[in-house]
Amino acid sequence: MLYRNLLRHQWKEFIRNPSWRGISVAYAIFLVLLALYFLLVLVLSGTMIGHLLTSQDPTADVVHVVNQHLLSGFLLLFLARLLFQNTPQLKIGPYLHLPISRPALTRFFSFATLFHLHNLFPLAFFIPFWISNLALDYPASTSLSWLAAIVAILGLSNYLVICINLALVRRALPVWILGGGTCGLIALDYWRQWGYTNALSSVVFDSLLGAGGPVLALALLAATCLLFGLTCRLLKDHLHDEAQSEKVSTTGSQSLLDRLAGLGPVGQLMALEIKLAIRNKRPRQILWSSLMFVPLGLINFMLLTRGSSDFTFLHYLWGCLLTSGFVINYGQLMFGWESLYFDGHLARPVHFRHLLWAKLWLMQISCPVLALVCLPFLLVLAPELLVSYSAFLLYNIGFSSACMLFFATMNRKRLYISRSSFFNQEGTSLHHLLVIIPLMVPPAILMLATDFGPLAIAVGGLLCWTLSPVWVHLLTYRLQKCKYRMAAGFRGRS
Amino acid sequence: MHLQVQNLQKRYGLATVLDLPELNIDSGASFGLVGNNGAGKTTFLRLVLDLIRPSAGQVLLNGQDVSQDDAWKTCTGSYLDSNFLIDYLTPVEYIHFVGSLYDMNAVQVEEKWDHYRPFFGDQPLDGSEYIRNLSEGNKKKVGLVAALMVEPQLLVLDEPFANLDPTSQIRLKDLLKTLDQTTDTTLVISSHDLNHITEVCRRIAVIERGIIVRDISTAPDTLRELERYFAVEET
Repeated sequence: MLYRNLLRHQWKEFIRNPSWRGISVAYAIFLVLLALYFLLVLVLSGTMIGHLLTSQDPTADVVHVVNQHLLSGFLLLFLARLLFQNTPQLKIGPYLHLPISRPALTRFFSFATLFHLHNLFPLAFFIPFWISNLALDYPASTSLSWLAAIVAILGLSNYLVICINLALVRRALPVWILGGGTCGLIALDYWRQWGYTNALSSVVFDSLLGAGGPVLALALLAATCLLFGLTCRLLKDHLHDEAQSEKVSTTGSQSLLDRLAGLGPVGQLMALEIKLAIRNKRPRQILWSSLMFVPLGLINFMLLTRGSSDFTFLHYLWGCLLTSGFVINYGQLMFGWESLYFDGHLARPVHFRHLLWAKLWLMQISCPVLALVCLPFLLVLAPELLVSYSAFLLYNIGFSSACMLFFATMNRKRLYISRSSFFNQEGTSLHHLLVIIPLMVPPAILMLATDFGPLAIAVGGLLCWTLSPVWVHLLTYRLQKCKYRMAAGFRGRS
Repeated sequence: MHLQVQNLQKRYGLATVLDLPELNIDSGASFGLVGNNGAGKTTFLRLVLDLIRPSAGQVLLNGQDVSQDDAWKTCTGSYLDSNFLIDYLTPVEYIHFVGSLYDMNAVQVEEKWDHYRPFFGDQPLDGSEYIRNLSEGNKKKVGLVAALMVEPQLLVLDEPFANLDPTSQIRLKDLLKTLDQTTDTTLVISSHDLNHITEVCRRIAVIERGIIVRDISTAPDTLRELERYFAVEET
């Protein structure tokens, strides 16, 4: 009865989640279609991968080939979860004062985490793959061992992430070192074609298909159960952490921010924006993912296009996105982030001109910062692209930043910035996905229409950058006109 | 600061939530606004602070339309609700941020902070907690201090006594009375607390469905009169 009620509450929490609030029907349909598309891609990949592999190499052992890549796949999935997956602490809070046993609560909420999309989406690939490649071709005990091991590893990684998050409680550095190190090793392995990740993966997953498979699968399932028990225990020990988990850290960055704030009203507002980005969960996650995924994506992209010397559409697309990750992800909600206290800005002598300069400079500065992060990877993987990517850097500094600041003045929805950004659509709509188009069109035209595309893009970017005061002036006028609608939307009244 | 309202209206669709043909609040006056929930008090204060656009009419501060010029902001202190607070800052950071907007240097802000520090009682507001982790009462105190410390010529407060502990309510009441008696600051305060508002304000207006139905100078029997009025309203 208790578990049924808790289950019902979980369902209501999902369908009444504030993340869905204010989403237009068109955007909701788009999101559902997108989710279905991904699901379909996974199911079809699982079903068809055998045919694809054997059509290229009829002698290929499909299961062996997939087994080779499972380890790196699971590791990358694990890192993604480390970044986005929440612990169920907050969900337990409202039940603590009720006459419900705490072990029962921790057991239920720990178990419920298994039904997260992180676990369900991979199964959309593995189950069709298992049906079409293992279920009929291998003995039942062997094929079931393989599937049980996959489920157990998903469960293991689920509970391991929760345990790490509970044990570290806001100490992010070790996580980043662990994550960065793992990614670096995998990338190095693939780049130098050493193949130790694949070899290790083969050893583990191929042995599941041998005589010792059931024992290994049972061992993995037992490890998952053990980790489940540990998670419940850690969760019980950390139930009261939330109240004290937000102590202000006094780090060196604080004095830097104080110095920035001392540079005048624009510096003051820049320091405020930086504090916003680093002290609130949703913008912080976007900030980190902009920093982390751009070089990761770059490595992946370079490995895929290795050997191709032509400047393809993918090169061009990535050149544009490489240094504009922060501008696109964070910048397009520049005013939405401040929705919780926008009234305070309006009632006090905060000049829009200063506010806009602060936001624009932050976006412009983010471009070279991201370029610096990617530079070592670019130098090693594709130095020939350095010139054209420098042109895109100038374009993003000059044009993309100002363009995104304009789109940010369309923000009308209140954002709860202390919530996770993962699957959190609150405050976003379809146009947030479409804003990328106007960023892509000008350089596409310049690349296609002229023989000196990179030079034209660089000159265009520089020109836009020198016109920054004009953009700020025009946007100040626009902000003055739409401030009431923005404030009304941020208060929750459209 | 002289506050003047001319033909002020706010409509949402067909519903008129505020309709004030004329209202004058003299410089140095203490003006209290009372009324039941949804009467239009906060809407009026938002219009005064140019947070919403009037459907008709205007609010003038010293003869200047608030929607046309931002100069009034440098001599106005206000706190309506938690939408004014930047909750990821510590109280000290927030106070310094607001002070800087009013051209106060760090020393001046510290002096003001020390002056208003007793308002927080024994609470250890030493910068180790963000505003979002404070109690509702302490959040309100941070907002009130930010509004008071800028030595405003116009002070606009919405429900300043709500959520405060009894000691803080009395302290705030004394602070506002002192401000009213010793400075030329114009006070515009809305409240549900008839007791406090009649003690602080020398002029009280009752607002009902967006219309001011009574506008009286505070006298010894004002509290009883208001209590009678609202008791009748309730029945």
